[in-house]
Amino acid sequence: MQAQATKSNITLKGSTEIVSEFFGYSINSILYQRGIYPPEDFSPISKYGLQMLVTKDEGLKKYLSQVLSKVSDWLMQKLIQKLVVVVASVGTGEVLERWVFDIEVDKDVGADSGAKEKDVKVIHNEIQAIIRQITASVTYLPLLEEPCTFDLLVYTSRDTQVPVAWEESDPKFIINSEEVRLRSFTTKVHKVDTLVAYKA
Amino acid sequence: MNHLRIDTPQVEENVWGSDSPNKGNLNYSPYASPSGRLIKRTRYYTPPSSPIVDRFIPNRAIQDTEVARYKLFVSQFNEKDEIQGEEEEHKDVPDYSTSLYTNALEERLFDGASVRKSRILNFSDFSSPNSPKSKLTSCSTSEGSPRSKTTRRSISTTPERILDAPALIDDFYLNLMDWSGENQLAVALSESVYLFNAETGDINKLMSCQGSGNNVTSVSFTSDSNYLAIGTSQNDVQIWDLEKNIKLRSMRGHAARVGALSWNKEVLSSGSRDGKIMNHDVRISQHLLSTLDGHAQEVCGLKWSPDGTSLASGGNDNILNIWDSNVISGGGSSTRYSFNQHQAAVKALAWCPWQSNLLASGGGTADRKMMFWNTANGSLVNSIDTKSQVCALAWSKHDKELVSSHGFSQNQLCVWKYPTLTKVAELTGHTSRVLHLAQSPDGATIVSGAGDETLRFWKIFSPKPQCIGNNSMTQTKSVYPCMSIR
Repeated sequence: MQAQATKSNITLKGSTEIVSEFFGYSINSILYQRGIYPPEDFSPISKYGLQMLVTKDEGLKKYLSQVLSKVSDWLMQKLIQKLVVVVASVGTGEVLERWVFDIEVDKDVGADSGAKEKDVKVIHNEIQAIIRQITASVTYLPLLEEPCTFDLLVYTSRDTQVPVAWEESDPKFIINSEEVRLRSFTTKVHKVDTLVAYKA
Repeated sequence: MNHLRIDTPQVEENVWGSDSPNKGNLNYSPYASPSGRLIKRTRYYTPPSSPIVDRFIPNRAIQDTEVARYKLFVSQFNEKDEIQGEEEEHKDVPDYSTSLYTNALEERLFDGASVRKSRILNFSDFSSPNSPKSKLTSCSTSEGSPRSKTTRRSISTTPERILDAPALIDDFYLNLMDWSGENQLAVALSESVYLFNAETGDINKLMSCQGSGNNVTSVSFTSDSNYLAIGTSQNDVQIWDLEKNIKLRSMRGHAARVGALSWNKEVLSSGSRDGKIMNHDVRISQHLLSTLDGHAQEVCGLKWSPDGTSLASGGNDNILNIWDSNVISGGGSSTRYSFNQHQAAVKALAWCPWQSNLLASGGGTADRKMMFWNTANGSLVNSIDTKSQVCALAWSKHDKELVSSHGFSQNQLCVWKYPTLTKVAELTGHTSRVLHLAQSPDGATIVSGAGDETLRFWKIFSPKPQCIGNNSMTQTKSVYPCMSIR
């Protein structure tokens, strides 16, 4: 990004890229911060003006890219409603944390029409604030004492065809959960609200 | 305190006297003065919602409920008419906060299941990768779900072999075939049970029922394939030892023919025309553990889930019930879920071998639907109209596919992809409804038994990868002698 503020047009495609990139980094941050994978599996990277950690694990990388590419498709088709990162105990299968990214899309924006104006830098600042909040979440979230694993759930509209290799799932709610709403960001095309629910 | 404001009660500072114990907590009732004095006031206003009062009394006088009601309900409809044709978004999103509220309410009330407007998808091809300290065990795909192969596989549309099965009773409500892990196929032909060894091609008669008009109505192997349970039309449930070919015991209790049997380890569940399901512990003399009363008519489908935690039962009363395994011991005799979506008898039942809690069910002539249930939360995951009665269902053990058998008019077998439910193949050949399906131990071959008194062996699914070349699984051998089963 240049030094001067760039008032750029944001199309559905561009917004989709920003949002799915944000998902990638925030999922990585959650996995690192919550200790789902050991710290040595992560390598540092500079993004959004922050030092972030992304996984080096090939299997995980492949998995995330597979999911996120499908998520991008759904973002483009405006079918996606939510992305949920479920953190569950390996032993008991109990769901301990649920990171919910609510996605709202501007219905006016078409594939090549209705671009919105927003400075990418402003968006990055908003995202930066969310990533910071994810990092800070370790201070109030209960310690995950048992080995945990994660799963990604995608809420799509009812008329979405279930693609090959995907299957329907139950929502994996947490009974008696506490909720903390984090900041949100908007590209003016997509608005993403973040919320973490955890077992009280 | 002499200032007066509307909505502010007239309270004189010294009403209670300065030594009033209630001072910090004003009580506005004139009858509750601690001193017992009746305090008279001319006007009595609603108290303000200040922190010192613990309840909020809305002032209804300033509201016009009639107008409010009109605004809420009537104007909404008018508006809708006006807006129609304008922009779509107004129609869909009447009020963000209400929709948020209803969504939250729905999610909490119904567990997000039945009224959910969205699909929840989970990428399962490669369920959460192996983190060094974790392997996903909890999620819906328990043990490495089969990778979807891109290699194309052609399904032969002709049967691999055909056996004659004379006197195979043409009755929709019976379950007359089972294939054991030892590669033996048990077929009930009227009053007798025959064992067909799929490896060698040998046929042995196991038993014949005593008494005239006494027919075998159901057969089921134990998981270790050493014993066969047989249900008869004279209300009997028998256990046969297959090594010694002798009857071990006979368990009575049903008041009508026993058309469905299913094992859960050493517990045998039997479903009967009297609408009852009985759970027998075959090891003890007082075999009857519990009776499940969930159907008003004949129980024709009965299947324990592979993990033994749930029992699915389908009846002629169009009901599909899911029972918890604790009903065996009599603990809790009510169903976990009772589904009434089918519009005909539910005979075809099959638990998915590679996704726990997924049950496929098929309805009879008036229904013709295949439905897929998540038995963990009771949701109908998928449903498809097959255009023909569904007599039996079987899942592939390794591929994400299943096969269904049908009656009028094609009498065909259909192979479906799951979850897309696209029809992969249609296998015709039977000349009467295909009542029974059984699957070979390696999962590759499906045998179908039909009202036309033939059994047809179809090579539909791919065998288990590690079993290829294994001699004990001789389903890959295709040199079969031509034979008749009796």
